[in-house]
Amino acid sequence: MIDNWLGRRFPMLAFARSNLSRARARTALAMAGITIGVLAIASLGMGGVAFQQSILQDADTVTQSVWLMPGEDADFAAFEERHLEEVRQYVDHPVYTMQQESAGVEAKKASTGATIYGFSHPGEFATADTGQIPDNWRSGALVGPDLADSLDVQTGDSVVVDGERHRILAVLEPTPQSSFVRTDNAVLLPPSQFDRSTYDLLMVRTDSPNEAFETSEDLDGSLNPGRDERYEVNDAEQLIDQFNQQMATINTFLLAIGGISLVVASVSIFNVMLMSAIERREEIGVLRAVGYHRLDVLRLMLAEAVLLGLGGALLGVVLSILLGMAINAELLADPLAFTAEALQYAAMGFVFGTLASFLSGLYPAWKAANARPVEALRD
Amino acid sequence: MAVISAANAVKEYESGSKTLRALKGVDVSVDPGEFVAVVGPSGSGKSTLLNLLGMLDVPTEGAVTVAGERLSELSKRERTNLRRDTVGFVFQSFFLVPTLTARENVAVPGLVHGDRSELIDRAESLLERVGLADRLDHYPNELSGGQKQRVAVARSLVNEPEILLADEPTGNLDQDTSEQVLDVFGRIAREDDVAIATVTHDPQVTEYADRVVELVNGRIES
Repeated sequence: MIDNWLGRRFPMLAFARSNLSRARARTALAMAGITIGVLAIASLGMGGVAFQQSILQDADTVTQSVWLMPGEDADFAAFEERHLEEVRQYVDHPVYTMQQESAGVEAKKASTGATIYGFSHPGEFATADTGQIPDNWRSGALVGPDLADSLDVQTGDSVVVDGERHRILAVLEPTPQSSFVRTDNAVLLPPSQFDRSTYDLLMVRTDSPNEAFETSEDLDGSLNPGRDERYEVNDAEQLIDQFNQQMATINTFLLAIGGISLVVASVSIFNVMLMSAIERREEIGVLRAVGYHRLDVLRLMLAEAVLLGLGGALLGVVLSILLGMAINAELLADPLAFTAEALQYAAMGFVFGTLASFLSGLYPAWKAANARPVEALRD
Repeated sequence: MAVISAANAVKEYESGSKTLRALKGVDVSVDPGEFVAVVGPSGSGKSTLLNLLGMLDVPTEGAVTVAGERLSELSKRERTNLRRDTVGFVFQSFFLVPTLTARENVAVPGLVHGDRSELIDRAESLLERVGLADRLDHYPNELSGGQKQRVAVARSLVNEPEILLADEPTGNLDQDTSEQVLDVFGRIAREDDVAIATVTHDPQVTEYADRVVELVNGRIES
């Protein structure tokens, strides 16, 4: 072991490694402790990041949007065509309209009350479970899954809203958690089917959250040049900030849990090194007798502790990357969707794991180095 | 000139309120190539004397001189260096590292200093000298007691010491294997001019020795 290439290069490291092979089970258990600690830190960190990303990804319809409502100082209760034109002249992005009412809905077997939405582009707000959502529509209806259940209808049937019969083009999927238009218990109709030609909400759809924040600021400046707030312009910036802050708190908490498991692991390294120092008292005495300085013994014992840490941490990182891939596949639909932040957690786990072993090796190593050889050798 | 000597060496141990006087003024010196056996009943201070000569401990009074250097004038670090360069140790219970082969065990003292390129070769030739050329890659648990002790002797020689200190080197061996180890000692003393000082109960050892020093109750009797 010492007389191979590596041993010639780093004899103390080779010697330390050979010492660790003496009590294999104990070495493996001490390493397992570090592995679990590193796994906890790295995978909890990575999981948190992936979760955060997946929420923001799901919420892209919200985070990439700017929505406008009549402001406090508006001289209108709902947007008219001229307002829509006004907004359109300031932005390059598509502007969608939404109308909202409540009405009774009837089907063959049942009837109930529901929200009726008028969407110019329903595909931007909902996805179809069965049937198809048309790009440009003038007739037909889309029905939310809960409402479809309670009315016992499916694609191809028809519903009666306010006395008007509409054919069901699609039954929608459940609304994602993050969506701000809840369509589960709603009927979606083309704007042309509404009696009025005013809109309750205008939505500008951009390509990224940052673009949305900029557009929102520009629009606010252009549409409300004076002190009056004719248009209320909203974006998700505050929402995202709040969410990120909450996630940061949760992540800190998760890391603290990981940290605790690493502390437990260092206690076990401490214990193993102390036991090994006591067991090998005579042997260390011999080393001192044959000319090892105290520093040499210290280096040897620390090398053992660091090897334990490195081994455990390395395995921990490999396992947490694998686990991270599983989490990514589940939450982000791409096993390799690691962000820099997620990889930082892996690096952090590795560094902490190795450092923890080094620190818990210090005292046992110091104790071994300072044992007087005479006393160690007295039988 | 003596390679190692103690002059009027006194060693006291504090144990509780009492002071234990283990050595009460001992004069002893060993010349190069000389094989000296220190005998005496247990508790007579033999091991204490060996520890002083091996610079593992310092005398309370008196002087220990190793290779011309007075022990009291050296720092701990210098003492360790001098010990490494001039003294080899052999112990009753061998103290080999169980996870290293015979060859590696012999090389252990050389790992922390000097030129390591020749270390393994030197370890091999030392093992050949003690008659273990066919046991280079054996682990301690694959060796008999006598073979282990011969590995330990080879280890004690790897730093090319001027004196070899042995504490009951045959204490754990039977008569035949003791003889093998003592043969090695004799050869090293004759051929390499290495002095050997051994503490022993074993009459067989005294037969091999050039000189026998008898220690009784902390003083030299003869």
